[in-house]
Amino acid sequence: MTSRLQSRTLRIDPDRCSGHMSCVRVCPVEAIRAWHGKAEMLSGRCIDCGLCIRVCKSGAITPRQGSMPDLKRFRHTVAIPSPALYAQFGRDVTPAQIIAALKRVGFDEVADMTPACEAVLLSIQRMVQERRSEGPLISPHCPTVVRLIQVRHPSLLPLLAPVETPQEVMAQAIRTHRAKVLGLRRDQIAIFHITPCPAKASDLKYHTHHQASQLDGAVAISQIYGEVKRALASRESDMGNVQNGVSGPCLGWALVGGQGGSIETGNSIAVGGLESVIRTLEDIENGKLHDVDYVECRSCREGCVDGCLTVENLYEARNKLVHLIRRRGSQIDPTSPSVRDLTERSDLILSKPVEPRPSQTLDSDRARAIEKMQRMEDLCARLPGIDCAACGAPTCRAFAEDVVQGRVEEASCPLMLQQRLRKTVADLSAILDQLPRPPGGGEGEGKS
Amino acid sequence: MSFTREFEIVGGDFASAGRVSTEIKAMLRGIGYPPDVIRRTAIASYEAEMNTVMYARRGSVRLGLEPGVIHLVFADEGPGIPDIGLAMQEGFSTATDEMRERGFGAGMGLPNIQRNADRLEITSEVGRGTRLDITVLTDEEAGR
Ligand SMILES: Nc1ncnc2c1ncn2[C@@H]1O[C@H](COP(=O)(O)OP(=O)(O)OP(=O)(O)O)[C@@H](O)[C@H]1O
Ligand SMILES: [Mg+2]
Repeated sequence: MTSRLQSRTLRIDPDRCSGHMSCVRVCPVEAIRAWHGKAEMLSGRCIDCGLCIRVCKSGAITPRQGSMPDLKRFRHTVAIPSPALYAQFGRDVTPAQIIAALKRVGFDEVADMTPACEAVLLSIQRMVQERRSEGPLISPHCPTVVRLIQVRHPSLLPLLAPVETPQEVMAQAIRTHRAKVLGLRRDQIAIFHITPCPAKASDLKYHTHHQASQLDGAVAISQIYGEVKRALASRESDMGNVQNGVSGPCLGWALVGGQGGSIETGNSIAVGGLESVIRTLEDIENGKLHDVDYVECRSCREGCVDGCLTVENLYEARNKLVHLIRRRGSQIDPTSPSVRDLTERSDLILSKPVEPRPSQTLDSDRARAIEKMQRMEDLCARLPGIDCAACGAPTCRAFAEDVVQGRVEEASCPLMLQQRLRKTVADLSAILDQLPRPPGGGEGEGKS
Repeated sequence: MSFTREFEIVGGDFASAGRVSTEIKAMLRGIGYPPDVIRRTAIASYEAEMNTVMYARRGSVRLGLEPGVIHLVFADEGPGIPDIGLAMQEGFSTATDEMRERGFGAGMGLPNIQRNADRLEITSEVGRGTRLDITVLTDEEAGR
């Protein structure tokens, strides 16, 4: 049974799970069940949003992350930090200091994503400006949102802007360049993304797009936080060759609205938080929002800075970024050589569209799916409809689906079971009433 | 093999307007129709639901699924449409200022349904109500 229950990104520890059901209820794609008092994951459904990690009171849900990579195994190691990392460690610690500290942790090189973010933003700007067809372009940079669209709104896939993520663009450029300059094979270079969320980590293995990922691994901000903090505290501050510094548009990448703030579009909107994202996608699907030309959707309410693998207080971290962006400006310099180089790369633009991932389909055979839907409807009509979740499914509808799909028995709805027991008891007592009373000892407590 | 399900729609209830269409869309997703079929049906059903909310007192929609076809029948109790030909014209609208403030009233709803559905039949009786028969063909099943 357990073989079909899993998420590729998250792990639920049955020993720590206390059966609170918070995760079952919060999951936006109804991927979690607690049939035996412990949470389990239906496979293929999870979109890696991390909401379950946030709500779990017993810390039973953790990202499937590897241990810290052994950096000495590689000839040349590179860290590509998410800009959300720069929001950590308090207001007085600059991005340049954080980069220097990361190096002291053991990376040979730390590559700031500034040129990649800016090149990607410029490509999006061009796509938005050249766009003629109906409906807004949708930002493809939150992997959870991309997965949500694959699963729930496949008709919107053609609206995803066909651009790579900046971490991929950066990794590709670095690998090519360093291999040449250092005279190394491409596979002697190991590139790690420092990630604020499990979605970006799993995106490496199951790259949302088609090509294999250019990154060799991901390290959670929470995983490396302690070491960086220690490195920051130690004296020998090597600020060596930290060049131009992290730009405003790159820092803005970690905030909801940060993208639209740096590019010129007619009417762009930014949406944070999965619930709002779903509502917005519904609106787009219904043919609304036709005056909007770009929609930046983020699974986390405040953007990557709000990722569930970050450490610092969200609002303090957010403030730090806002403050830095105000000082550094949110303008992109399109003439900067490093940005121009990247903009011209062909791998910046995705050649193939992202494909649907219909994990919510009842049956691959259409006729059987329709039949199952009818059975679900019939069952729903008989269910209490109060979504109590006592059966282990988040809603009565999800329970009906579980029954129709043969995952559970109808009797595992406690309220239905109670109803049936009541009826059985009533039936039995009706039968008893019709039977002639046996003489003598037959009359007992029942009559008292 | 067939499927039917009926939903109620409450006139004037803007707060929950669109919910029925969202539910219908979820069902179509569960059946596994191609994205384009879902998109076209979703737009048609949303526009018809909004018209019911905006103009009628109350209404209902029946979703029917058969091999190769999706049927939506919207029936409402309301003012009816005096001149259907006129109502079908792009830009024609009797929406109030309040509706326009909510972003409706471009007079594009019915034309949009026409464009996205494979068949649309409107019947209406002034003072009583309106009925929309919407058919979407789910193409690749046409030959089955
Ligand atoms: N169910 C209905 N009952 C009564 N009148 C209707 C109904 N549906 C449409 N109408 C009439 O037809 C007109 C055109 O409808 P249509 O949906 O095309 O545009 P709209 O609702 O006015 O604006 P939009 O749909 O662009 O927000 C409406 O303004 C209204 O007068
Ligand atoms: Mg309308």
